[in-house]
Amino acid sequence: MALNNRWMSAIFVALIGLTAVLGGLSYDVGTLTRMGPGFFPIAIGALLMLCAGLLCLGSDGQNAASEATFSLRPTFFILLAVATFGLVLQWFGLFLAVFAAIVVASLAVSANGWVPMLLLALGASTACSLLFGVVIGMPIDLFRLP
Amino acid sequence: MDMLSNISLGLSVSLTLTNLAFCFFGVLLGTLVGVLPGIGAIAAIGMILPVTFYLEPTTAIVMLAGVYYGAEYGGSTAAILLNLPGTPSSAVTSLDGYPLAKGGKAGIALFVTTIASFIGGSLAIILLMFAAPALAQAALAFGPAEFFAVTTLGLVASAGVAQGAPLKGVTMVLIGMLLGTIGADANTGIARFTFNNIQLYDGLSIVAIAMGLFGVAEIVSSIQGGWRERSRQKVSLRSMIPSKTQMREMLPATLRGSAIGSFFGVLPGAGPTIASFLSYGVEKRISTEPGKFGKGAIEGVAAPEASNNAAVQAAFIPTLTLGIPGSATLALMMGALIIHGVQPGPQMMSQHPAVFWGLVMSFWIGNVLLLILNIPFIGVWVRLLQVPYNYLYPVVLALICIGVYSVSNNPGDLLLVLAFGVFGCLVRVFGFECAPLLIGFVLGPLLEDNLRRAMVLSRGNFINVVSSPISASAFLLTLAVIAWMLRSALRPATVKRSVA
Repeated sequence: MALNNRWMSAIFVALIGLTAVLGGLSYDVGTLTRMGPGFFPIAIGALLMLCAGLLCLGSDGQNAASEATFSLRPTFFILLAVATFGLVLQWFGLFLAVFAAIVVASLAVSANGWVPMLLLALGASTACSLLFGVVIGMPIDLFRLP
Repeated sequence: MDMLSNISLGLSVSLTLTNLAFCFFGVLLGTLVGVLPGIGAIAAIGMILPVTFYLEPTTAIVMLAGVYYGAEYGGSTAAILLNLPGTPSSAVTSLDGYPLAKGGKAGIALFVTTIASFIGGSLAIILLMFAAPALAQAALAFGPAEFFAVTTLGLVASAGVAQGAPLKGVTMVLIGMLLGTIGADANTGIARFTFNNIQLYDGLSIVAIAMGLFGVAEIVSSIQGGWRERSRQKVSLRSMIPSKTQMREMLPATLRGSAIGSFFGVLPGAGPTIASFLSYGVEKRISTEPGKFGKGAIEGVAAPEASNNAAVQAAFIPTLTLGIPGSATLALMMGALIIHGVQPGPQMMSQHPAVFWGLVMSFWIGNVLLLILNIPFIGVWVRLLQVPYNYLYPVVLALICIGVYSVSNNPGDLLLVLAFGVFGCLVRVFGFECAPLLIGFVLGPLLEDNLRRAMVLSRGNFINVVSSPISASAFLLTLAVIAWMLRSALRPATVKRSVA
């Protein structure tokens, strides 16, 4: 498991570095004296690939640090909640966006009961609409028809 | 005397009813997010950003700063009572704080940490008041070469003094710098990595990145990590007063912590977390009875708490005088300042003295308010820790989304939050830290810009760039940090291991 992490992170970083170098090449690189827009991205990309290589070698504290686990459910629902907020906000306005986001986010924890979460969603969307829409006066639609 | 007129200017600004009210609100919110694990100062700042757009710049920054240093007061509460730090820098406080609580001395621990935080913060503010004008004056003589040198120092420091392996810190800084290249190139105006998207021309939104990495990813990891059942500890006011011996033990540790914290606060890029860990290590190493650490040593809570508060206040020094953020949170706050039209940097003190001194005086007011909030009202926070996290996080998430959207009313920013939320979760699994990325994102463009200009000015003569006195000293410091990084990378038996 620890080995897996190390290689995966090294590959991940190497890919980012490679993208940077390739992207940087499409711009004028220039010389050391007069650097073009492409110079920095290429330099950073090269350094990142070097780091990726070093990451493969090193094992400093790797085992101690990677206690972080990856469970799908919370990650998926939290991210879905953000996406939901964005979409619902554009189609239906702030009130329903907050409501939907909270409902989706609450699914991230299986222990959450239906009724308390719906009440929470209702309360929060009301409070947010009042606070941001009315009190602060943000230029945001509270209710909208698609 | 000059300082007196500055102080009176500051007081006249900070003692207005509006600024007082928002200072109070800021420190209150800060303590709240500090106390509650699973939300941090960065998320809180993102959440109240929409509120700040309708405020004067001074009021806005006073409030945001209040959130920032307020959180450092509150972070120790959960660390002591629940062994669950409210802020990363309070993690080391739980090492001796939790044993104290288990031994029935929670009140004393909470009192000591609050007083230590106050002393640490106050000493750092005094440093700020005297050092900042001098530094700003010196900074007016800064040319591109000097800024290049100091920016390099900041980047290396944020990579090297991060929590995990220095190599991982370097990687994150580099990725941050890469993200900073997205957008129009400052020197030529050519759009880089924008894929013909007009919205990317100004670069990525720092608020979206910060909220994705620190807000969303933090919530996910808090849920994954599980949260303990809230304890039902009662803390009375009388139980908080420490004995004379405890006071005597506490003071030298507090002073040492303040010094360490101030140093790391001023060092651009390093923040309160490394400061608190280091001062704990120092206390343990110089103590006459190292065995008592981990079992409830007063020095073990006083030093780190003084240190993190000192670091947080001192971090304003490079931020306000050089425009180089002292920590990741300040990188975000700088973004907020810029949105308000106040450019942090050497000119800030001459162009906006009222903002600067008003802010500094508000630090005093805020710290006093925090003393009141954290001692007599400690019962409120203890009770607050009993609110279940599963009711809290959906609301926090919604507020984060609103906050991000409100910056430019751009739904694309929410997409960024999503992307960086994924990224943040991913890199946490790999064992990387996010703070260096944010600093790299802010400092990268500065570095590139100044390096290019310096090279042009010196006609390609790199020696010239590094040889001016200020640049040379910054580079020497950078080399020192690199040496430290190499040492801690090659010798795993460092403080962190013995602390962990």
